[in-house]
Amino acid sequence: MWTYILRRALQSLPILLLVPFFTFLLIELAPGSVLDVWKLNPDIPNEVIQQMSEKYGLDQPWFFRYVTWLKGALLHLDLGYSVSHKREVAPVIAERLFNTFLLALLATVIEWSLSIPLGILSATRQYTWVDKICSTIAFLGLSIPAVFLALLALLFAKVTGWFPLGGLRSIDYESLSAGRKVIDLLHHLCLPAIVLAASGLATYMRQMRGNLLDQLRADYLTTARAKGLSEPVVVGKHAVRNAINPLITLFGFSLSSLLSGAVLVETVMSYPGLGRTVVEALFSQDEYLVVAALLMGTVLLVLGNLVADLLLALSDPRIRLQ
Amino acid sequence: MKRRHAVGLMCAFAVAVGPALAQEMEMETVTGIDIGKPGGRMVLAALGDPKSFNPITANETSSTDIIGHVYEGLISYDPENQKVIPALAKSWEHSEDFLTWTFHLREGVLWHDGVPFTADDVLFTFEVIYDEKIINPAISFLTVKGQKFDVSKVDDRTVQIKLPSPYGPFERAIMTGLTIIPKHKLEPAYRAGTFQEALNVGIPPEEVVGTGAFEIGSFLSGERVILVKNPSYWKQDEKGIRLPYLDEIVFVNTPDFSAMDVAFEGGKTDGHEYVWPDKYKRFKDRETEGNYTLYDLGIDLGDNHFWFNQNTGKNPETEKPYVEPHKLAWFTNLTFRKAVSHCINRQGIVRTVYRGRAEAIHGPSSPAMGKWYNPDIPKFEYDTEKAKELLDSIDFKDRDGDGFREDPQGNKIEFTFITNRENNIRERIGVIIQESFQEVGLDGRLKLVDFNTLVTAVADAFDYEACLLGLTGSDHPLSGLNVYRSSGRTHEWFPNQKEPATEWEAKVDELIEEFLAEPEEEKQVQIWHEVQRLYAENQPMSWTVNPRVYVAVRNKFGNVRPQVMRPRLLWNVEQIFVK
Repeated sequence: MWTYILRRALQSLPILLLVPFFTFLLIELAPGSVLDVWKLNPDIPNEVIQQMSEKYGLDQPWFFRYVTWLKGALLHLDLGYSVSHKREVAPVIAERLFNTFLLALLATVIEWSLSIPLGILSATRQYTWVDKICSTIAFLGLSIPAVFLALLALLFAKVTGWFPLGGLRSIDYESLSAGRKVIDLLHHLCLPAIVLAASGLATYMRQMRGNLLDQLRADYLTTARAKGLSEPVVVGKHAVRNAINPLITLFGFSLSSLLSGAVLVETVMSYPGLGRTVVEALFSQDEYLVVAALLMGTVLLVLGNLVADLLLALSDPRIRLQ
Repeated sequence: MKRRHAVGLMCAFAVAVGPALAQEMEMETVTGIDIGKPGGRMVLAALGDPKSFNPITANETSSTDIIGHVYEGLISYDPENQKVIPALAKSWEHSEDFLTWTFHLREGVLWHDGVPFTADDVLFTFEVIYDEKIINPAISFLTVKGQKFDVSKVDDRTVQIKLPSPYGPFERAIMTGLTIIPKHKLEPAYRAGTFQEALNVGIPPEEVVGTGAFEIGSFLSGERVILVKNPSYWKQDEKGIRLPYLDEIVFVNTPDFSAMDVAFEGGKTDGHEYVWPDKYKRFKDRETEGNYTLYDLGIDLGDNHFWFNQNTGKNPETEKPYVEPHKLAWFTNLTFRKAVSHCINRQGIVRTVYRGRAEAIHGPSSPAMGKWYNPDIPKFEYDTEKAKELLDSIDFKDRDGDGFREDPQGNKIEFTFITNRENNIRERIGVIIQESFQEVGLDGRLKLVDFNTLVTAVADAFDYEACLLGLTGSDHPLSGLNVYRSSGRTHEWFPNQKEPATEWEAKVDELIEEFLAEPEEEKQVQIWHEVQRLYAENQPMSWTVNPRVYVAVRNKFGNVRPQVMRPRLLWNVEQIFVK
């Protein structure tokens, strides 16, 4: 297995090099630069703009900046300097990455802990009222765009006053006891996590239901039943295990899609995550910050796929890691 | 080494006799305010995180709005009376020729870490600002005709500034440009060449040391900044209660203006500094319910204006002129520009875009500038008949019956004007202007572009025909002079001119030099009125409307007297208290 992991890591190296390359290229092709905000301020002298441009290498061709960045990243693990945040990229990302990670983690837990049982439930009780309720919820989750759902959640919080309006911690957070801190965090995380989980929850639930229904009609289950196995064993041990394979693959992609979905939820719901930082960086063309954040997303995608493949091998004895 | 030792000794001294020193502090008594009680907190929304706690290099409002309460200058400003007032300098005087200024520093002022503030801090601040390696915006205010001031220390409490040549708005320049930084804290970083990074937002809050009414309590990226009260600030009220009254100001990070609306309506924040005119009714209707007051601060300092690209230069690489020669001939034609100004349906914009909560503007300075504003300038009101007459008079007529006019050489009068798509208000103004253009037979078309594209076009590439954009203003002409100077980078219609392109621009350049050298404020005002008249007569741009400014604050706060000049609500923050 370790050689397999190593081989996969080596295979993903070109991706990790190419993503920054294209990011630098695309930012260069887009008009404007990170200094634009300052250029329109009449009280900032020309010399200041000139100096900044030289200091951050903005007067150099983009591939120079790519090569310099690559050297720094490979030799010193230096991700570069964020011009708009006026500090190294690494701490800027680190501060926010944890928040996004918290949000994504909670959303993943909600998604998977609900979608699989509900999917099984609606497949085994096909066309009953349980199935109908689950399907309705799923269709709602799939058809309501995340932006709209986020706005609805915000309105809900504002009207009822039960949930905070954005943020991750209360103003008095520092003075709370450890237990109260966790409650405070969860209280803030609740709505954004539900919004983020909604569409995934619906997708996986429908997927699980469909797969399981296919399996339940398969011949080998009839055989199993004929042999006298109990229904829980037939469904739980045989059908579900076969039905879950495609979902594990989906799980691999879900890690990175959670990150991109978070951008939207974070912006609408004023959540202090990485997504908002990245969007701001994109608009202000703060290239090192964008590159670092995209790199993070790529790493997650690669990791997610690797984890999915490993899980697949674990759950399905027909698959071997070669 | 010896110096560092001395600083260490000073720290110990300050800690030991801190309270005794505080008694010797020369307090400033603030009169004419309601007596409040200490304590409480005010929560406000901020657009984005502060990017730096360094007052010398910070150049974005998300940073300066916050550190403006942490650091101070020698001189402060009273926006209600439009005059400079004492701060770290308790008084100052000048020689008869206005070339030598002597500042008497306030006795007993302490930095937030307890070290006394002295003349050395002032000298150090000037040294940093004048250092070419330190990228800072203050230097444009603290030089006269490109020359630095000669700053010297008379004694620990007295600083003398000698000017190389007369500098009229010198006090204003010191107020705007000079923020004193602690030598004992920042000198090591400065000598080591790391000054720019020394006060990045990642450092522990107690390392950020100023003399202001508040210090940084904590900072959480993406969430909030908490400012806590400086317990030994140098202001007090008439009863001798030390200011500021508030214990804390909290700035919660909100991604955009609608999030700010929600945060205020949901009770998360206590004040809302950005109630746009189109939301006036929404906020006015809920005043009682939300227990707040919506203040009308009058007309804004910033505006939206339309201009043609009059750049006569060529692209250095392709040798192609920035503006096609026949179009440049239209754009530089004063009668043509006057006709275009007559096409701006200002009342229509006020009615439809701002729902009546804005005012028509005809010159470069806003009426909010008070004494600096010249109401007596030529106005080119909305009048399409007049516009048609003017166009006829220069022989711009519809020659081929397509509904659009052609110039005498037969070129159809067509141009595109750009504005940034992120700004919904500007887009709607653009549509209204476009309608009038069509009506008088000009094929002027609005094109929406991204903000960065727009900046590149107007500031670097100059490859555009016309533009609709806004500038934030100031209530004193000294800020923004580079818009008026023909050599300025933000001299929008033709920036960075080596020689003034027209006679009237040369005249404005002269007037600006006169203004900068004129010590009497009354005469400065006269000169500035003349600049506005020249601008209005020559219509280098067509001004549209300025919106009214509204600020909402909960009724539980006292001494709330918001002003149109930023910081609108917090300019007197040390006086604000919880009732």
